[in-house]
Order: sequence, then C-alpha cells, then structure tokens
Amino acid sequence: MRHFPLYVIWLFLFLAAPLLLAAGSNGSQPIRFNHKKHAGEMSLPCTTCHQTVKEQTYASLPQVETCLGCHAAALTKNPEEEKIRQYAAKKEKIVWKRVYQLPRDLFFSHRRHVVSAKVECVTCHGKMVDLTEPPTRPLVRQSMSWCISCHQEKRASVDCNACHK
Amino acid sequence: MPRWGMAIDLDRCTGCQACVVACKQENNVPFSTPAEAEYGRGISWIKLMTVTEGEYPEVKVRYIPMFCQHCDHPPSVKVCPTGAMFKASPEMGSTVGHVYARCIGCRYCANACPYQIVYFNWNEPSWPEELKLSFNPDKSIRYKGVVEKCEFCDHRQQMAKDRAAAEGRDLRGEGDYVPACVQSCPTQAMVFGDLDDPSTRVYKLAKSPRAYRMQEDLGTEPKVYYLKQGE
Ligand code: HEC
Ligand code: HEC
Ligand code: HEC
Ligand code: HEC
Ligand code: HEC
Repeated sequence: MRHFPLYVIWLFLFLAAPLLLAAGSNGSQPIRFNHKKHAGEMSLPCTTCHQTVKEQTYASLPQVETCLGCHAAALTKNPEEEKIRQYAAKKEKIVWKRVYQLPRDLFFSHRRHVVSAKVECVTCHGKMVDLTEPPTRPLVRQSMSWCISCHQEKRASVDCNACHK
Repeated sequence: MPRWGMAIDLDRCTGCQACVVACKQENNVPFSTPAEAEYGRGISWIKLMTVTEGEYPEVKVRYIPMFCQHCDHPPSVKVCPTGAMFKASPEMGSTVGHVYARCIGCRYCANACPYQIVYFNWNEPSWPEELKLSFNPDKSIRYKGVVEKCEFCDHRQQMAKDRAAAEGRDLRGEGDYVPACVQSCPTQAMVFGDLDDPSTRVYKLAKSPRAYRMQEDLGTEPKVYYLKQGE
C-alpha cells in the first residue's frame, strides 16, 4: 500500500462528487417536504407545523396528524405525498432529521426570541420559504460568535451562564 | 437583579441525604466505580460532612451539607487560566459558573478552592444502560478531563427566566426557582433566594445571630450561610 497512487483516490472523488452529493440530499428526510409550496405559495403560517415556537423553548416538527388535516385524501400525484397516508395507516411516527441543532450543553429558547425579542425566523434560519426540498444543512451557521454579535447589538445577555448549561 | 444565596438551618438537617440524591439525578452527575471511590475520585456536587463530637457514650453527630459556596470573591475563578470558571454577572445571579467546553482540566480551581468542592472527571463518565433513560435533558453531560461542581442549578434559572420573560416580568427574588437540593429537602432546612432583597426568607436568615459562613476569615465572601445548631 505504500506506493498506492494517491491521485487515483482524488480522481475518483472528483468524478464521483456529483453522485455522492446527490445521494446525500435525496432521501435524507423521510418525506421530501416542500416549504416553498406550503409556507410560500400557500402562505401557511410557520406555526401550522412548528406549533410550539411561540410557547416553548423548542419549535417542534410536525407529526402525521398535522399533515392529515389537508392530506387525508390525495391532493397531488406525488409519491412523496402518498407516504403521509402510509405513515398514518401503519400508525408510525415520522422521524424528521434535525438540521439546526446546538450541542447539548446549550440552552436556547424560541419563545424568548420570537415573542419577547421579536426576531424573525428568517434572521436565524434563512429563506426557508424558498426551499423546494428539505435543507441538508443549515442555511445560517449558528456559531457562538453569531449569537453573541446579535446579543451585543441588542444589549441582550452575554453571560456564559445565559446560554451554556 | 438577584444575588442568589442559600441558608441552611443545621438544626433541621437530619442527614437523610435526599439533597445528595436529588442533585445527582438533576445534574447528570456520574456514578463512580468502587475503584475510583477508593482513590477519592467520586463525584458528588453536594455531600454531607459528618462531624462527630464528644466521647462514648456522649457522642453527637452533626451533619453539614457541603457544596460550592458561590463566593463573591472566588479563588477558583482567580486562578482559572481560560475563563472557564467565572463569576456570573448580576443578571445571572452572581453565582460561580463553569463552561465545560472551555475547561482544559488543569485543576487549578480544584486546588485553590478552600472548600474542596470542585471535582475532576478522571475517567469518561459512565452510567448503567437503564439509567441513561433518566438523563435530565435540561443539563449537559460532562466528559473526561473537565472539572465540575454545583452551579445552583443554573439550568433551572435559565428556564425560570424564560417563563418570566414570557409573562413580561423580571425574575423574582424568591419563588421562581430553587435548586434541586432545596426542592427535595423534607425538613426545609435549605432556603434559597436573593440575598439583596429584604423581603426574602434567605435575607432574614442570613442576618440571624446563628448564621455563619465557612472559613469567613479567608475573605471569599461565600453566599451560603449555615445556621448553627442549638445545644
Ligand atoms: C434567534 C434565532 C432563532 C429564531 C428567531 C428562530 N429560530 Fe428556530 N432555531 C434556532 C436555533 C438556535 C435552533 C436549534 C435549537 C436547538 O438545538 O436547541 C432552532 C431550531 C429550530 C427548529 C428545529 C426543531 C425544534 O423543535 O426546535 C425548527 C423547526 C425551527 N427552529 C423553526 C423556527 C421557526 C418556525 C421560527 C420563527 C417563528 C424560528 N425557528 C425562529 C434559532 C432561531
Ligand atoms: C393547510 C393544508 C396542508 C397541510 C397542513 C399540509 N399540506 Fe402538503 N400540500 C397541501 C396542498 C394544497 C398541496 C398541493 C400543492 C400543489 O398543488 O402542488 C400539498 C402538497 C404536498 C406535497 C407534494 C409536494 C410537491 O412538491 O408536489 C407533499 C409531499 C406534501 N404536501 C407533504 C406534506 C407534509 C409532510 C405535511 C405535514 C408536515 C403537509 N404536507 C401538510 C396542503 C397542506
Ligand atoms: C406544512 C407544514 C410546515 C410549514 C407551514 C412550515 N414548515 Fe418548516 N418544516 C416542516 C417539516 C415537515 C420540516 C422537516 C423537513 C424539512 O426539513 O423540510 C420542517 C423543517 C423546518 C426547519 C428545519 C428544522 C430542523 O430540523 O432544524 C426550519 C428551520 C423550518 N422548518 C422553518 C420554517 C419556517 C420559518 C416556516 C414559516 C415560514 C415553516 N418552517 C413552515 C413543515 C412545515
Ligand atoms: C438576531 C438577534 C439574536 C440572535 C441571532 C440570538 N439572540 Fe438570543 N436574544 C436576543 C435578544 C434581543 C434577547 C433578549 C430577549 C428579551 O429581552 O426578552 C435574547 C435573549 C437570549 C437569552 C436569554 C438571556 C437572559 O438574559 O436570560 C438566551 C439564553 C439566548 N438569547 C440565547 C441565544 C443563543 C444560544 C443564540 C445562538 C444560537 C442566540 N440567542 C441568538 C437576540 C438574539
Ligand atoms: C448567546 C449565547 C452564548 C453565550 C453568552 C456564550 N456562548 Fe459559548 N457557545 C454558544 C453556542 C451557540 C455554542 C455552540 C457553537 C457551535 O456549535 O458552533 C457555543 C460554544 C462554546 C464553546 C465550544 C467551542 C466553540 O467555539 O464552538 C466554548 C469553549 C464556549 N462556547 C465558551 C463560552 C464562554 C467561556 C462564554 C462566556 C464568556 C460563552 N461561551 C458564552 C453560545 C453562547
């Protein structure tokens, strides 16, 4: 293995990159949900599906019952939509993969930011309403310096104990 | 803004250790193996010191709950080279906080603390599989190589502040939150609140003639007051 030509690996990665990336973005969520259609074109409020965003620390991701409100019968011919009723028939929960997730030693409250501080979703999550596919990575990189710079600007707390737990 | 402190009435303490258990559960404090315990490496953010007085048959055992004293002049903070151990701002209650992510495990704080209540994770903490289901999601889980100690359940303060903000008010000096140990104490020997607010019980108890603080002469200005036992 000592003289294995490294460029072969690079060449492979280079040629296979589009395939690998496509594989990553497809099927990474259980259903290919379309924010643009629901929150953009139909202008559903975000709270239709992220129901606790104004009342709790977490925003929450929707369950089958929420989707069934409209999708009890087929609205489109899209097989992705059919999956909703399959979940319902099997009485299974949809396990969405989290995109935005802070390390577990941090405290963050949606209620505090959305209700008290009146920060818009788009400030922290980017233009979710323009997405036709589930995001595979955060549109906004939520680093510590990002939190702090807004906190300094708005005179919110920068005490380590406010965020770290 | 509250300056969190505690008063412990030693006359009421029966040594039941409910606080010790509650703290361990609330803060995801790891269990130690017998081997570790033998080295004195067990972690217990709050522990019960026992003081035996007199000679048989006239013996008396006194119990003193011992944990971070949240000094106003904490030596541990002074020696911390990274700022991981820090004194919280008045808006977060002026307690002594610790950011695990910034800790490099030098243990200067553990040595500087006159109360010996800073603990080091000598090993990767481990729990029996069943107990992992009872982790408290509101509190971090630490890892090998960092120190840890009582934080007056700061995570409860974070949530209490959040609830208060939702009601459009500031955190009250008493009643919005108590640490787990205080909540669990069956004899209500522990009282928690704002030391600067004359309307709180802890304010009054701290002014009691029975009140003293540990090693007061060191000038660390602890925010935990003990009420002497009567004879
Ligand atoms: C101040 C920044 C900020 C604002 C404003 C904000 N979010 Fe978030 N959001 C976050 C952070 C940070 C996380 C990751 C939280 C975590 O890991 O605990 C997150 C996570 C989420 C999640 C993941 C799942 C969950 O239950 O938390 C959803 C969904 C979400 N946000 C939706 C929204 C919606 C809808 C709005 C607007 C009503 C909104 N967010 C406003 C910062 C923000
Ligand atoms: C308020 C009603 C409503 C709710 C709630 C709702 N949808 Fe829809 N959804 C629609 C309508 C209307 C369409 C058809 C849009 C169109 O004409 O293309 C649709 C289309 C779809 C499609 C096909 C999208 C495409 O790109 O063609 C999928 C998949 C889908 N929804 C999934 C979901 C999921 C998953 C949920 C629950 C999290 C949900 N919907 C909740 C109304 C709703
Ligand atoms: C009809 C239901 C529905 C509506 C309305 C909706 N969302 Fe979502 N949202 C979802 C679903 C389902 C997911 C998980 C799949 C995905 O990521 O696309 C999600 C995921 C998200 C995430 C990523 C969460 C994570 O995992 O970290 C954010 C951020 C988010 N939504 C923001 C918004 C915002 C902002 C709005 C309003 C403009 C909105 N959503 C409206 C259903 C909805
Ligand atoms: C766009 C601005 C903005 C961003 C980005 C932001 N915050 Fe905030 N945050 C605020 C404001 C404003 C307040 C004060 C709210 C109030 O006064 O009720 C606040 C309050 C808080 C509080 C409560 C502080 C206290 O005094 O109790 C916490 C905790 C917090 N933010 C955590 C975070 C974290 C963690 C992030 C990054 C993931 C973040 N914030 C990003 C604007 C922001
Ligand atoms: C407004 C909220 C907030 C405050 C205040 C805050 N942090 Fe953080 N901190 C964060 C977030 C969010 C992350 C996770 C960043 C990520 O995942 O990239 C973090 C991560 C860290 C890390 C891990 C390394 C890194 O940079 O990702 C360290 C170390 C750290 N913080 C130390 C501190 C110290 C020390 C203080 C006090 C002086 C402090 N933080 C105050 C929000 C905060």
